[in-house]
Amino acid sequence: MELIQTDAYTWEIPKTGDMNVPARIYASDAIMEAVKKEETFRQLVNVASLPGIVGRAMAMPDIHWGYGFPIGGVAAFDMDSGVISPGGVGYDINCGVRLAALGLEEKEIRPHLENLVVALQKHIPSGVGSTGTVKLSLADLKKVMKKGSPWALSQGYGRDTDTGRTEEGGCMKNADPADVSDRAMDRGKNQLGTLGSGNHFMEIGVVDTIYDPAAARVFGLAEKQVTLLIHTGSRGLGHQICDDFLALMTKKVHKSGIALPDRQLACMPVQSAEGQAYYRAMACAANFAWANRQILLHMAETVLMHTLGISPRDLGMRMVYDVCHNIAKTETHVINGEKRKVCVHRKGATRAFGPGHAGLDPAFRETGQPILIPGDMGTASYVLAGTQKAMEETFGSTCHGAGRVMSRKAAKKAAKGRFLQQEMEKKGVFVRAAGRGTMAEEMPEAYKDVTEVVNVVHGSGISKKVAKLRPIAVIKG
Amino acid sequence: MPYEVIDHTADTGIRVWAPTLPDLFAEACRALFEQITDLRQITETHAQTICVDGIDQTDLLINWLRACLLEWTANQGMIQSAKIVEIRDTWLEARVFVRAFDPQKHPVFADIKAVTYHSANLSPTSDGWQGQIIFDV
Repeated sequence: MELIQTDAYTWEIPKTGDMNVPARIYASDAIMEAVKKEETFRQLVNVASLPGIVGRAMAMPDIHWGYGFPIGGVAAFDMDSGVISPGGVGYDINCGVRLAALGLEEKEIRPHLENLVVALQKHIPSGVGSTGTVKLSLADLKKVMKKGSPWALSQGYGRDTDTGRTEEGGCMKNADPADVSDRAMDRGKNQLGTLGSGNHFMEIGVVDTIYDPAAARVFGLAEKQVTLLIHTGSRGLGHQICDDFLALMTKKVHKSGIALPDRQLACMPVQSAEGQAYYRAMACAANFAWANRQILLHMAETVLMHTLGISPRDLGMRMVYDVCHNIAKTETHVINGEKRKVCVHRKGATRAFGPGHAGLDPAFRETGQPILIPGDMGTASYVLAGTQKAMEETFGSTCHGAGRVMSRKAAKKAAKGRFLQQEMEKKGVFVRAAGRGTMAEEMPEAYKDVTEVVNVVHGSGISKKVAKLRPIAVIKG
Repeated sequence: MPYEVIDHTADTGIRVWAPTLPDLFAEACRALFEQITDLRQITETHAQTICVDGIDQTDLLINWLRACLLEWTANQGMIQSAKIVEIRDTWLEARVFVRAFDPQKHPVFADIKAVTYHSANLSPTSDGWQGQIIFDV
């Protein structure tokens, strides 16, 4: 496999063998060196070989090995000749991030941090097998899957302005619960309003640096301001929908004559009955995830008010934005000068629509959409803005986070004999984790340097840095 | 009947050896649940029947472990052991011995969320069978 560096931040894999299109990787020299050891490039080449892929198979700088598709992968498929693949979205459908800004500064919140962390952990269900405080009947669960964030809003969670500040308005219209299995609903019905386990978290941060004051103003961010960031997804519901359709498509694709280099790439034509059913079921999980983050932010707001003993007005919480990291969507893009409808898969990648895009809330027409990039629990998270270059090069997509460099086992080994909680507290970050071993598995060294990842997408022009957030307290699942 | 844990950047997996195919399937189930909890703590089980099919033997192994894992992910149950009643190339019937998860008694080592096709393999060896499966955590 030939890797050609085309500029400081891009590498191309020319079209050879079974590839239908070339592949491109956005990375720095250091990231390329680290990624070379994995089988990730082979996975990208596999994606480039799928039927009906358009333009290029792409990988963002947080690229790492995934199931079938690499994480940090972006691929668009023709609506008629192309395919849709559950593995191209991932298990945690609409795993994503919601960011809110508070009307407080660090000095006002720091004396209460320990109490806040304890209270958040007590009131926000997290960890393995946690069940939500929102009890859903089957009929209500179906409403959540159909309506997403607007459903949560109708139940009194959040504010009217929140949906304008959510990707897709927090609801994919094609969702149809009839395509979701009973077992998937079983897994989801008790999990609304839960954070989950693993890499999911809630983070209190401070706006540390502003890079683009004009965009920051539009996004509602000012230096020293306290922020709240939530990272979670569609919980067991999304996992089961992915697994159900992987199993179904494995059977169908076997008979369809599409040759796959890896079974995890199981896919079906976008327009096939199975492809359409997956799209509608995936949309259900996406809507569930948006409703989940909407509810969690509302719950967190209540905890903050009670713990600090202040009114909603004094807390001054306002949503910045909500993005998803794992999704497939029908979008219109200009390809070779021609407007075309394509099915864009983003797996561990974020939509990055640039200024002027009709799909954005009018508030963001000048700046491009806000992009939220969570880092590891000790380093930083970033807020970026979408660009025209992303529209031209990456189907309006960018990176999604830091990406693991250490296995969970290796992280646990590296953490042996250390007091991570104390180490983090010395750095000024209060951390509490629900799961046994989560602290070690999720320690900062287990992840790539998020700043390096962000510098690549900024340097290559597919996103623009707006602000850097410094974590001061983290609740882990 | 041995197995080993495969360490992976994002997740975890198992490599299992057994003299016969039914043994390998039963052992893979045990290996899966030993990643999740301490099986010695699982007592007073009740028996259930599981039937699955697949397009070939590897797919059958994946679908079998999927069905076993569903006990945990959808029903909060732990499978203490499994007995393969009948197995053919693309079909099997098994009895599994299940206990409801009790957070007070049963530790959770890893919350395995899915069984993947990644690097999945099932093949005969000189003295039996070897299988390999990666789990999403």
